[in-house]
Amino acid sequence: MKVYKTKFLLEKLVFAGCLLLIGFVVKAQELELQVEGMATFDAASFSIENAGADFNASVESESTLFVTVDSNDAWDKTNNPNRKWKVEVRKEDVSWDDAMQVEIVRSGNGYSKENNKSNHVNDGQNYQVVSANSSYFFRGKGLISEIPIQFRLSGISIVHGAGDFETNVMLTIYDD
Amino acid sequence: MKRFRKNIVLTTFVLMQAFPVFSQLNDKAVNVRFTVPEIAVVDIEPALNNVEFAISASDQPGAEPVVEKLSEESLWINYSSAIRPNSNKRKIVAQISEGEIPAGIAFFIEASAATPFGSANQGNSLGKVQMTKDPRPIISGIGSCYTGDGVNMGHELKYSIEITDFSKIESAGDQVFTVMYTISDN
Repeated sequence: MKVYKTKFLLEKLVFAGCLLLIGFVVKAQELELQVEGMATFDAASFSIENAGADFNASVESESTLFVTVDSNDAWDKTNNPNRKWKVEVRKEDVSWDDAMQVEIVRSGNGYSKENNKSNHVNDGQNYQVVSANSSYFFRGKGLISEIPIQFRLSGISIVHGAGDFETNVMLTIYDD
Repeated sequence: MKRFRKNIVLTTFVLMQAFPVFSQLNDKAVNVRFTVPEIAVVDIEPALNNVEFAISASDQPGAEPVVEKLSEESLWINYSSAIRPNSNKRKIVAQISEGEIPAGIAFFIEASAATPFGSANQGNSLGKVQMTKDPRPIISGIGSCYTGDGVNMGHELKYSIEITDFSKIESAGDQVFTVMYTISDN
């Protein structure tokens, strides 16, 4: 009878541990990416002034987007202020031509909301091609606000014809 | 013991499901979009170029007059075109827009094949075409393409004059006429 009780207690403990772990997992998901702004391009980049000419080979976005790494969990902010993370990037084409490329770059460092000087961002400062496969973009530590990013289109040509070209660039944050 | 094992299996399953969520925290999509409008622009290089011909009497008595081209410089037609997928291809038409071609004379334009400098989908020459006041195609089959901008790019234009009826030729001094080129949908 005592053995049965011990086993039963052990089962309860395991369950309690599991629930705690799941709770931790759920709490750990509070780190999130926020993106402000839109990727817009000057329409003049897609016009031709001199007959016979092609578009410029690459066009930078005329606006800057801002990425913020934030947490809406007070416990996480207080007890895990130096959490490491990394951002990966991929694209999902809506209407696109394979000869055209989207490139992305981190053009600044943003700032720490908490004024935590150990918070920082690394890498991503050279344009890199965004493909359908997720690839590493940049990494950092802690909560960082308004990290500026820019896009560049390359390989664009009048040869691709008239039409609307659209792709969705997916930024994903992971624990690092 | 069986219940304990069941619980362990259940716990492991739950954690395995949770693990990928744990590593991937959150994602956001940024829409990247741009529009290429339909484009159709054409130009002649070098700009403001005049082509001159002279018709003079032959040295041989009774022989036909001699047509001589006085201009040495060559003319090139450049164009850029963007059409929507599955749209009709374009053509370039030429016509006499100002002035009159003197009676007894026929004026022709022949576009060469496109130079290899430009892109694919450039048009095809329709050969030697007689010009009138009505637009006549000289290049057809133009898709989404560019020829390059400047001389020695695109199609060279060869102008020629032929005497069609000697009896109608009059000594009328200088005759000036202008050729207009238009790129249009087929």
